[in-house]
Amino acid sequence: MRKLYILLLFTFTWQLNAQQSDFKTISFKKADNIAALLEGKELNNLPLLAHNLTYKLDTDVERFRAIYYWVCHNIKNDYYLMVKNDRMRRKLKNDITQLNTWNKTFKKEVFNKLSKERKTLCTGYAFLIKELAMHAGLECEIVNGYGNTSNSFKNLKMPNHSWNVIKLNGKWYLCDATWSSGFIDESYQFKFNYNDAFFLMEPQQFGKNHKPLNSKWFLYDIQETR
Amino acid sequence: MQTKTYTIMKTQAITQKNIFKTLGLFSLFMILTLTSNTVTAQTERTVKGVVSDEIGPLERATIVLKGTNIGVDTDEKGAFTFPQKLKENDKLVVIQLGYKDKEVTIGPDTTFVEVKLTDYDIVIVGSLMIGNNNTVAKDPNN
Repeated sequence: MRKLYILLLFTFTWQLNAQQSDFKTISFKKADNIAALLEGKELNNLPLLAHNLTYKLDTDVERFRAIYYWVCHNIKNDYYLMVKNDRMRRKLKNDITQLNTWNKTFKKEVFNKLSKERKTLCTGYAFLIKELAMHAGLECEIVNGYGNTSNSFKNLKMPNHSWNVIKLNGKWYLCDATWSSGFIDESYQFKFNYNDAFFLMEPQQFGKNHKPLNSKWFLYDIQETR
Repeated sequence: MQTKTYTIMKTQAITQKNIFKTLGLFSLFMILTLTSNTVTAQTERTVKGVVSDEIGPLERATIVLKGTNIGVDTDEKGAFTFPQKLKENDKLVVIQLGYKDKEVTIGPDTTFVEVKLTDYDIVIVGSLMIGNNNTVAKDPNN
């Protein structure tokens, strides 16, 4: 009975800390190198890109790593696109019909820009990660919610951020390609600056600045810690 | 005894005759179907088309002949001319970022295809990282 209890406890804590360290025996060097070799590839054939990124890799986590690494090193964050959408969504937030119309037109602009200039905002990153993962046979979802770099969500009235959850070895993990890719400098220019911390980040740490609309994507029991 | 043998021989003769008849009909049928198939399959032609969504034409959509690397992109009016002549039952796959893939089968006399793509049901939101993103990971209160 005691053994069982310990085993249960162990399983529970293991579940709680779904993160990069689950894969510490796996080196991401090969995946990162493959992604680096494919730098600058076009986005007009995603199944082919997903294949080229993953076919030489043996594990799902490495396959996903190659996809994540490629997206974070090849897709730029577009500040003006972000501002434009943010302004419009605030303006129309009480008018569902107009908001939907805006979303439809803007969506087209976003995907056009992504495909032509490889520039986007967070939904574009999350979409690309999901699509490439899907083509590589991995289960991945887009999560919408509130993202805040100042650890306070109270000023955010509307969802402003998208990120991903990825299922690896039957377990969900969190990642944020937008924030991993780089940052906007003082002159509003995007600078690539890969940050590995947001790749399969420990859920409680991730939850400090990511609040999903659907609380199941916190991936930890929020009652327990808040 | 004699009558019996005679009957058997007669039956054999009839069966043989029937086999030849069936075989003859069958081969005639085969020849006909095979030749007609070859005739239709040989009519290769240039296929043009236009790709759009519910708002309007789609630029830079990719059209690939299924199972090959042969493909073409649409121009700013959503139009394309496929670089290789196509025949009946060839399949074209239309791919565009942000839209669901669509497969089009070439019919017996298709020369023009109109493809309408459906987009994904996603809401575009955006937030950004101002300042160095490394500091955020280390200190979320920053």
